[in-house]
Amino acid sequence: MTARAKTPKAKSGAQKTPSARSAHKAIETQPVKTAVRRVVTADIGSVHTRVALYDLVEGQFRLVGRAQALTTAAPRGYDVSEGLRRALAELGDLSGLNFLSADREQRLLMGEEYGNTFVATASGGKPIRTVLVGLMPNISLESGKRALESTYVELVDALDLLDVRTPEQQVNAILRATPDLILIVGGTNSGANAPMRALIETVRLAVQLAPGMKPVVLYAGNAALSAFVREQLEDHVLLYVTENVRPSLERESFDPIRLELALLYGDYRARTTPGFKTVQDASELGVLPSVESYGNIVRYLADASGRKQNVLMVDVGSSTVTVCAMVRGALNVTIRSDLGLGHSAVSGVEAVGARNIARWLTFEPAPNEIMDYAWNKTLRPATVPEISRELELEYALARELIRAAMQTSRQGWQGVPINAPLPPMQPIIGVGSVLAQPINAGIGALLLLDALQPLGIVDLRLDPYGVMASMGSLIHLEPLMVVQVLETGGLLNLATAICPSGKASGTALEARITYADGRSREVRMPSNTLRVVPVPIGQRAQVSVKLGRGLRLNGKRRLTFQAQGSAVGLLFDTRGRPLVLPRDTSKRAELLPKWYEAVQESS
Amino acid sequence: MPYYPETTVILGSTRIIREYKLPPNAIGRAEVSEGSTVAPDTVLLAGTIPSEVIFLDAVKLLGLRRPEQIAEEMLQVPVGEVYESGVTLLAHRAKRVITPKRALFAHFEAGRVVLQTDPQPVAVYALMEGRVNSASDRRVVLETGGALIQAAWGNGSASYGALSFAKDESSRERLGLEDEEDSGQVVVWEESIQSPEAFREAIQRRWRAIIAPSMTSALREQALRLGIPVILTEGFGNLPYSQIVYSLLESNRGRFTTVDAVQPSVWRSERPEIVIPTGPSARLRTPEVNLPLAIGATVRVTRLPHIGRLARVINLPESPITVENGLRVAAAEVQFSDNSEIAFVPLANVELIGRPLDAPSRPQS
Repeated sequence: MTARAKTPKAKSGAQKTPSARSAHKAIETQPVKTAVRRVVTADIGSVHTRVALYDLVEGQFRLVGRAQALTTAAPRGYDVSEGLRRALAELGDLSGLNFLSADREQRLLMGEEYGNTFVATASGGKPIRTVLVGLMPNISLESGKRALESTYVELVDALDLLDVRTPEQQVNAILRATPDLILIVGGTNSGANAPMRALIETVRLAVQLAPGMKPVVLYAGNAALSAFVREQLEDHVLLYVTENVRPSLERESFDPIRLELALLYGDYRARTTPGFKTVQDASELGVLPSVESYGNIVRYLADASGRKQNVLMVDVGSSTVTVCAMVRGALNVTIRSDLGLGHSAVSGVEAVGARNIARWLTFEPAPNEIMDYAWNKTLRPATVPEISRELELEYALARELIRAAMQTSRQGWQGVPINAPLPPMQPIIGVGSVLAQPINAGIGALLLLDALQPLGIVDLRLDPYGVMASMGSLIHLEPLMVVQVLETGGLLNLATAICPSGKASGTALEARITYADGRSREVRMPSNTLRVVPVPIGQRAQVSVKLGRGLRLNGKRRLTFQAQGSAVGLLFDTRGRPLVLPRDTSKRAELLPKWYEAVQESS
Repeated sequence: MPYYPETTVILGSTRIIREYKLPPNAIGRAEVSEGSTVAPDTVLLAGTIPSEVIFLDAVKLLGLRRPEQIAEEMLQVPVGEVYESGVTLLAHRAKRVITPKRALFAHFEAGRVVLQTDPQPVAVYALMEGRVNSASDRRVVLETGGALIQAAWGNGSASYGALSFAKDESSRERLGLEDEEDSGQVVVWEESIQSPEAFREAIQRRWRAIIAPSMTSALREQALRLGIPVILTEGFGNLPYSQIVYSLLESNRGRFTTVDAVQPSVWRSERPEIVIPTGPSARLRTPEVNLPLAIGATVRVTRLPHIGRLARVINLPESPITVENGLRVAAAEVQFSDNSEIAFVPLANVELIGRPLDAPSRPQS
């Protein structure tokens, strides 16, 4: 979608010199010159292992096949590579290629000698229990926390200079926390040593006393103390030392520590998940956390327009909800390991509150019905709702999980007040089965609109094939391929949502949609309604919108723009912001089905 | 393409191999050797779990000025052992460093004594008859045979006793047997637990464990505090027993039963289990858990509206099927064993029950 507002400013913008976007277009149309000809990707989630095949078609990389199987980590099986083999077997059947040896061993036929490149990402599995150690809570510890956002961790304790606990209590705290990882940050490279030495000694004593499996220690603090850290810890734990995340008060350096954390994630999973090592060994880059890939793609999309636009991605998984947002040029990543639709359903309901979930239901849930539902989902995360009542619960939970994750994410958005409406995002991408495989594409769009409540004209996209995870991991290895896959339908255009702000009485919106073949149709809508006008994928349409008094779209009452075709089409939303849901169940029972019906209808 | 559903073993007779481990924070060892036969009350592994760490400033307590002044001969006992309260660890002239309470003398450096206090003894019991397949420092593998029912949830306790039914226990009360100190009973509660009544009765009658089909999640905390195992075979809410589970329990009435009500963790492979052991037998086979779904396989449905029902797969359509709520999903056409009704059920909502003959082995490519 390209906005074409009738203002001098917009016109001058349209005539700018070749931008990054046109450069990308140039790449897209050029045949690829690369050593890589075929790429197989795998994303191991908590419930599903998804594989995809990318190949050159007429000189351009395309997604040519995909398959999935249940992830075979505990408690289902004991070897995560088994699920990968099952998915690859299916991909092999679909593509006519062999990805597994024919013998009983079923080795993974991956790598240059088999004519392919294999990359794997993972988002599933138990989060890494992490203790963060740093000097100042609002300086190094903050940098450490931001670095940890790039991977799947559960922060179980933090030690710092202002900690009122005695060293004895701190040692006990670390022992009680039973961390898998201790991340030590703190001290600028020219800063004081003594306080850091004391903290490092506390860590050393704790890991010495820890029975059983020792935590891994990652040091990303004052570079002058690296030798001391090695001397203290090397004999007791697996120690990694990387560049200082906060080399000076004014500067943060995230790339080295994020890379180390990504590698650590792979190593941690390889140590704790049977079969993971097999996948890690076969993959060109080891197994990277999916969230790292999400960040890469969101950053790419933000830059692709040449305008540094805001981009938002939400992944509603079984064990985590991830928000990746590029806002005002800064990437914000939030992983909520307590939110999820399967493994984390119970903690998710506890976090968002059953009452908030109930406000999206057309029925009054029985006492404990929502929590019983969540418990059964946690016990059997791969199952799907089969009756309407449970599907409604699932959709309601999904909306609230996204809302909760967004609230956390927005705390880190610089210059955007937390309670302000969502700033313009282009596009918004949804990831996860509940969004990608609803009963109708319109429902996926509705869930995103309800949970995020965007304003303006926004492209909604879906990632039904796991492209975000796989392409994000390839962005450094094969950037041309990533560009081509993303710009040739790797992400599904779900809908173009038109969401005016404000409240109006009477007619809220009138629109004229003119298709490329000259046909046109008109839409007239009251407020508090939803309406879909199809624009099929591959087509474009010009949309002219006129709003009722009190409503604005991108600050204007009249607007004309070009819309790309999408699975749903144009989705006009005059419900206003924030959405108001009736407290009375009978009124909700009238209203919500109308919304569901509206987004599934093509007028 | 073959679909590999989850497997929840529900078998009347199977080979059972189980691994027992010390808790990860315990220090201890195996108490049995490979090949030995064990009883339910045999301790397989024993050890201690150290708890709080305390520091003692030996420099100060010995009246010294610097850590370097502490000589080796001042050390009165070896480091790494557990000592009772009042034991002298270091001595210098009349000054002493003594254990303030029972503690593990964990570490001594730079003039600082590090104790881990209150080491809690820990013992891992066999809970059933069996033969030790292997034993190492922290791990024992036991083998037995018998009925096995894998359940949905447990409250984290384990016990054993004679399998009885709550309704029978009521008649027992009328016979005046309720005053026994220990009923010795693992009791099947016939209905979903929707009120604390089941727990009150369990305490009053001194049951050793409760087996129930389901429970309202509102009682979960209470169940966790109960002190005896509570195991749910189906899940949370108001769900009845699967017919196959109830029949299996009923047919084993009065027999020795082990309830290992492990609290299921999404990140661990252990599952709550009911075992009715008959002892190791060479003729029994281990249930297969990694089988593809095939026509003819017996499955149990895991979601409403057919939750808990047993069915036989009669068709595996290639194309997705639209189910009641409108979702289009890969599905199996099944015939229910209770009333011969035929329905489509999402593949994601069926599980195998571990019968080795239900499905062929992994297809060879």
